[in-house]
Amino acid sequence: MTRLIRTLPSSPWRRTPPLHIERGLGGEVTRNWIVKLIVLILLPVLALPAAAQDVIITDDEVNAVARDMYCPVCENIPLDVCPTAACADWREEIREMLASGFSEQEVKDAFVLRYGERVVGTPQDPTLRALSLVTPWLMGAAALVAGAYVLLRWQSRRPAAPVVEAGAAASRATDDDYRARLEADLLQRR
Amino acid sequence: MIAEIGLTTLFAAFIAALYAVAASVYGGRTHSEGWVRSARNAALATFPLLAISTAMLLVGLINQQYQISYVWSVTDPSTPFFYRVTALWGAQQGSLLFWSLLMSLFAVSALLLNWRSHRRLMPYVIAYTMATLAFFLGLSLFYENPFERFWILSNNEVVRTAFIPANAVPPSSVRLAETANGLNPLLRHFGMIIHPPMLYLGFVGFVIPFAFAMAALASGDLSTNWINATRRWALVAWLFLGLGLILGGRWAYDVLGWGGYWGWDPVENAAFLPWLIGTAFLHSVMIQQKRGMLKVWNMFLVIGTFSAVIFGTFATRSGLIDSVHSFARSEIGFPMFLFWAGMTVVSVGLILWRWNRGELKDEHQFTHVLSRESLFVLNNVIFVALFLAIFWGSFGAPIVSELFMNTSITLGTSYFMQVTPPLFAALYILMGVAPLSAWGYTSLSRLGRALAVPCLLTLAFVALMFIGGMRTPVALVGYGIVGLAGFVALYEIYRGAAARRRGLGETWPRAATALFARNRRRYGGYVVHLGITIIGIGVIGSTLFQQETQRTISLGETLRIADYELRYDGFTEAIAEDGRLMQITDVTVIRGGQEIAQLRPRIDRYPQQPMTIAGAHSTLENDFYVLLIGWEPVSHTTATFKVYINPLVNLVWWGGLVLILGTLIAAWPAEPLAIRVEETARGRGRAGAAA
Repeated sequence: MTRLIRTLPSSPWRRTPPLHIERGLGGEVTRNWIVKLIVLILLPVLALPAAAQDVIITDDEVNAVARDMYCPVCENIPLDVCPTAACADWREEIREMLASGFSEQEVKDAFVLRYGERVVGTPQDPTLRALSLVTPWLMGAAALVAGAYVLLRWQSRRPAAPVVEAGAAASRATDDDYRARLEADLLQRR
Repeated sequence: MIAEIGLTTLFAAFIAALYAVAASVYGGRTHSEGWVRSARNAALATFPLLAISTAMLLVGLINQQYQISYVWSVTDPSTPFFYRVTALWGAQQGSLLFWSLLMSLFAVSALLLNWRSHRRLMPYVIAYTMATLAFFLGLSLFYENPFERFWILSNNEVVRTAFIPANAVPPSSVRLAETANGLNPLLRHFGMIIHPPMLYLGFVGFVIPFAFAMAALASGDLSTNWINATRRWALVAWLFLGLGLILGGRWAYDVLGWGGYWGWDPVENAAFLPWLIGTAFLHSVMIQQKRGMLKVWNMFLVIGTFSAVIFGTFATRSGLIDSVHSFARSEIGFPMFLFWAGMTVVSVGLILWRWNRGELKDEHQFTHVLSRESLFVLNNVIFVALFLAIFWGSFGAPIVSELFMNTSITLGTSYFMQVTPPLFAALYILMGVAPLSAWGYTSLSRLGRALAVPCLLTLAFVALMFIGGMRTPVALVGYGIVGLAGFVALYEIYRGAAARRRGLGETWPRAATALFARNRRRYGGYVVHLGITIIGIGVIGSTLFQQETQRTISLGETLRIADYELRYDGFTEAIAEDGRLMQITDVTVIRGGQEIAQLRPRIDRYPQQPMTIAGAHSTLENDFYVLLIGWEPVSHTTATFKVYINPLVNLVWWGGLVLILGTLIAAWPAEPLAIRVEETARGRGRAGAAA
């Protein structure tokens, strides 16, 4: 199944057939990176302002993409809120790309291609993405296993005599000092 | 003269700290009282010496002594008096000196307050605190000297040195004043008055528990003495760190123009990491005090906390990670890394040595999985998992990818929002369940009975939200989990007060006061839990239900967001006293046809950078938060605004206040008060019985 992307006659980002994204039945995306790279290299030469004349992209749509992006100069400030002129230019570039039919993912891919993985909040490269997102869960699982090991080790050291549920009174006795003293006070009053 | 006095006292403090280390170690090893006392006196001397040194720098800042390069780099003639004072911690050299002063203050206070009660530990406490202090003073003296001055050499070259070079003359003071840098604009905010000092107090405060733990390992006194001595210090450090984080959030909300208070920025995270491990320690330490268990783990936690402090400082100040907070990058990265690595290796080595000798064995056996200690262990596991996840996102993954894959990556908010919420949810669940369990063993039925009322209250709370129109499943679950923790805390306070009221015939206020006075730690802890609950409600509301829009509108035109409207009324420019150009818009906030607020979002233009200052209309329900993004340059007939609705965001700040209150209650040394209240209560009880 192929999804055709609208073409914009006046846009420098206008799609030609090789740039169309083809989605297979499994949803797999194949991209013609060489052509895309050429377009990206030619980007500064092309007349960007003409692009947005036909399709109006709102600031909110631009910010939705920019929210998870970072310019390589500004220090860990998301692109949608960075006040510098360089970041404003990037946002305009995103607007042009969206106007010419790029999807959010394609915009991110294009920026990663030009500036590296650092410009996005989640790596696009599958290996880096897996490394980034799976590792904390593995570490969490390791911590959980360590905790479970400690508890099991403790339990295995438990004295042979069965632990009888102490009931309310005994449990309270092992609870904090205050509660014990409070109970004693109440007993005295009875 | 100011610089000379400052430099001399700084050097004298460095020598005193080094001497204290040597004398205390020698005195401790040889059991020589004289050497230990001498070490103590040298340690005590560091504080007045550093106070004089810091005062000299402050005088330089206030009197505009631009020949001192630090003064030149952080102020200029237009800097108001107030910011001249706060410029003390506005860049690397000053903040390092200030850091050392605070560390010395903590060390001196700990020595004076614990000298008699923990005499055996003292030589090593002096050694560890003074070694840490000497390291930071060494950084100040040899890497980032705050008293370096500008000099013109005979060949007209301008140099910056701490000592006067031969045949050098000072530059013209007029020329220096003309070229002075001025304070980083991001630091010109009321939050910066106390945010950095609070964070520094939190950071350096953890040196005391760390030093006591190391002293216990070095001296062989591995009882709970070191914990008894340091619990309050740890609480105080934790309080300051928490306060620093909350104030930092407020500063980010007001000054950075992110529309939020937490950006998962690496430096924010660097301050959050020791707080997480410190919180785990504060819980885990109770198991050792009550049951004599987890001795090794507590040592690891206290070392981990201080190690996280030093690592965070290293990461922030070395330029390891780019961040909007990295005000103070310099060449101190390598020595700081060495200190951090060395300190961690030595500390862990000491633990392993004692562990191997069998000296860190638990005194009691674990009795059952369903007990308070096992739930606290689980709590610790989750804190550690959270620590690891945030560390990985902030430092681990970027460093690993850079080192081994030659690729720079940034893990942004999306990463943290995927990884941390389940862990926070688990912590809130434990916060609800653990206080109801007993030490040793709790049966499921007893735990169920104890949880019944809070669970019913939670269900009613969630049902009310549902009836009120909330249909977001994640929010309902989140509020349910957070609400349970809060209701448990409230219910426990109620139960305690009700028991006193029934038993002693006290009024509700007196019963509640007596309850807190008699067990500040327990009930202070509940108040802390309430504070965390309130923060949780605020975070869920402001994260899940935040709305934002950005639009360009003409004069008199409105933009709509939720049931609010924003009208653009006008544009003005003004020059502030400190010389910055302020570009201000006047806007009106309208709700239900009524004008409810006039706001003035603006952009302040400093020579260094522009600052976006938000306009906000705050209510308990939400914040209407407006940022000025741009405008039509000449006529100003149109302007672009970014508007946020941040529901319940103010609960984050209010929750912070409650958390501070709870920590103060828990840490307050109020034994006499408790006794007085108790005596009064007994007297009333007897009188009531007699009547």
